[in-house]
Amino acid sequence: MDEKEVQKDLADAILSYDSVAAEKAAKAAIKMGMDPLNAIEKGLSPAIEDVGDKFEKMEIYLPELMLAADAMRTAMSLLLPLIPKDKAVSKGTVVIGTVQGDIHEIGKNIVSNMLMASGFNVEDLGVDVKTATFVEEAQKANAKIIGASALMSSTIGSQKDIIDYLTSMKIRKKHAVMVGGGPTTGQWSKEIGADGWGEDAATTVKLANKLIKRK
Amino acid sequence: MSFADRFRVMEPKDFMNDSDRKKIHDAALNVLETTGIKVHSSVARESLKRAGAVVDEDTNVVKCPADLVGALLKKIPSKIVLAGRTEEYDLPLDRRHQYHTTDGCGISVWNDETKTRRKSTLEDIRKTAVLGDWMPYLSIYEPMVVAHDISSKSHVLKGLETAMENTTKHIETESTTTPEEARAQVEMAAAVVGSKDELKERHYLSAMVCTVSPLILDEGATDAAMVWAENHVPVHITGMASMGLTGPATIAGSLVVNHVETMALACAMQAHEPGSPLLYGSVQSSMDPKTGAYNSGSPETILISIGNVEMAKFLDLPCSAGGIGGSSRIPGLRVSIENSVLCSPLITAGSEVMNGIGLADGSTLLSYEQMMLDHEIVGLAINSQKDIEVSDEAISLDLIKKVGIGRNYLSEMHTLKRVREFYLPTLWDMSSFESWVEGGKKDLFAAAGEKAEKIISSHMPEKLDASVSNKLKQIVKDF
Ligand code: B12
Repeated sequence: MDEKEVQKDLADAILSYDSVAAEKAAKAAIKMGMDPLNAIEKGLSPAIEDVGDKFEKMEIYLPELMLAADAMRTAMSLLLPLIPKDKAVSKGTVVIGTVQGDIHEIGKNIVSNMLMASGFNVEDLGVDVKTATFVEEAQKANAKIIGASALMSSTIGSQKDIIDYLTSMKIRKKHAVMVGGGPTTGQWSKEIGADGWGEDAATTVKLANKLIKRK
Repeated sequence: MSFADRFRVMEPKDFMNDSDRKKIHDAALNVLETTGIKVHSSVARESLKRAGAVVDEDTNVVKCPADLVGALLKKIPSKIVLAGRTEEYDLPLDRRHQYHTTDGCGISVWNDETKTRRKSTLEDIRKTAVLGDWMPYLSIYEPMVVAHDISSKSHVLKGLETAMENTTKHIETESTTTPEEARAQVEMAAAVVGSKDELKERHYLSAMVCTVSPLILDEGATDAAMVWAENHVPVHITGMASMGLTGPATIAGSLVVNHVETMALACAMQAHEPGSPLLYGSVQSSMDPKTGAYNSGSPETILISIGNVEMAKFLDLPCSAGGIGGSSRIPGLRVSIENSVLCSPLITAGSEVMNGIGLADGSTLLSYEQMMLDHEIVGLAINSQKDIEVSDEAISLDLIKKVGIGRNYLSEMHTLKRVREFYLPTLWDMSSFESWVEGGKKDLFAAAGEKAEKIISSHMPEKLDASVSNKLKQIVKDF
């Protein structure tokens, strides 16, 4: 097998939503001494972007997206540790969670998978996440973007809290904040001074792509 | 005819046989015994442990052996009465009546002239309560929106107070997420019926409590459920497992997940307070395969809700499964189509309480126009699910012979009396095209909105006693 074949296996594993095949292909790549960066950039990444495109065009459904993301994660978990720290492989880090007092997680999970599928490194903090935790974790992970989900009119206020907190710590410029979830609107996002609003997973990816390139 | 008689429907029809129901039930028992369910409420966990469940204190996972589940479920009253503020509005849950609630709890209100949304306020709760009080086919009022003009700390209580002031009908609360909120609402309901002891007998308030799918009982809502149980406030156990998302993508599979959650919360309540009333609730749905969105208007949603009714029958419990309330982002045609199709089969199956008059966009957007349309849909649906009376008087053999061949029945006493029983729509009539033109060519939606406004400004709900009003105010103030 040459490098091209293994790269194709990696891509095929993602495109057929197959974690087992992804693991096999990643191991094959490692065994033959392929540069892991090559495995990712020539094998996995184009495939997952393809999946993201198809989803955006509504050619495939959510389960395909989620399974492709799983396959991607499986292969990445084997390849990433072999890459020197100074070589960036992801587009950048997004710290995401559902705000304090709110346990709705479905939309947030979809968004976080779609971001991952599009090449972001995603740290999902889960639900009922305290304002301070969003900020602390974003700093720890050196995340360019914070994503806050809120599904209730009684909890969307916490999205503003995150922004106010960043401002009060004088690090507002360091992290772009994007907000989303049922009761939020573009108008609300402007009102609280967020950097963007994501109506659904596909628009959120576009937004994140824009935010990550900033400054 | 009493108020409840209006909602009497034909005997429920079976959509599943007992052997299939038992398969779902057995699968659920298997899950409850082997996988278990995560219970974040320490009160519920302790009660279940005392009753004999296996509790893992590190993970909060509770496993219940089948015989324990069976023994606890037996304690649930199979027939109860949801009480109105006055007895006139009492609603027996006896498998022969079908009731509808207003939907809760929206966050914005539709303006049809400008086609825009605005934030909901306390005044919207007042207005919908007055309108709901008037509506002949609304049985239960649920505070329909969040009052954004009230502090988030007390908006649930203030909403309940406003509801109690403005309608005599039974009230269901939906947004309670803490035991403290539940306790205060118990005080309020007790103030209306006389005392906490009386509240145990007269179930003037009931509460929707959601499980978290798959297989979780949340902390706040479940703690609140224990307070409801202590005070015999009936709990509508409302699982929401969505096919493909938080439950398997098949109806049978998602029924199992929901059945586990429903039985788990029911068992926790019975372990905590034996004999506390509850309803087998559920508003399950299918996800939109492309976005994961909550798709409350899909055919799968109808089928799975029917399945919920079937499982309630299997346990012989009061049932509040399914509900109307389209997922269309705006009110109007699509919501009305979805609601019309959804309503009747669930009544035929035997759901006793259905959620959902008046909100669009997945229960987030109040429209006064839609409220009127939904009410009409419900009126039509209930009245087309009545028993077909086959008494001698109804057969009217003598009359048929008397009228004989080729004449008509118009000027008969029998007709005069019986024609009164025909259903008359509240929103439209059979007047001519010309009169529609003369009336300004109004479309139904706009006409519905105008009628709603008229009723809200003219209908006078029966007032609460001043001393009760003061008590309610005090409880809300002290919270
Ligand atoms: C499923 C559900 C639940 C489930 C949640 C299960 C789970 N594991 O997440 C359960 C049953 C647990 C639940 C509980 C409650 N719920 Co609830 N729930 C819903 C429901 C029906 C669907 C939400 C959903 O999952 N939608 C599907 C996803 C895919 O859509 P989405 O979340 O909007 O996400 C999309 C976008 O918004 C965006 N997005 C999402 N997050 C993010 C984040 C970022 C950064 C970006 C950019 C974009 C983005 O992309 C997503 C993909 O397209 C909604 C009704 C509705 N129509 O939304 C009510 C709803 C949100 N719930 C409501 C209520 C009241 C409650 C409870 C208080 C009810 C109770 N009595 O117990 C509790 C609250 C508990 C708590 N403290 O949080 C209300 C809120 C009303 C309000 N005041 O605002 C709603 C609107 C229903 C209603 N009308 O009553 N709920």
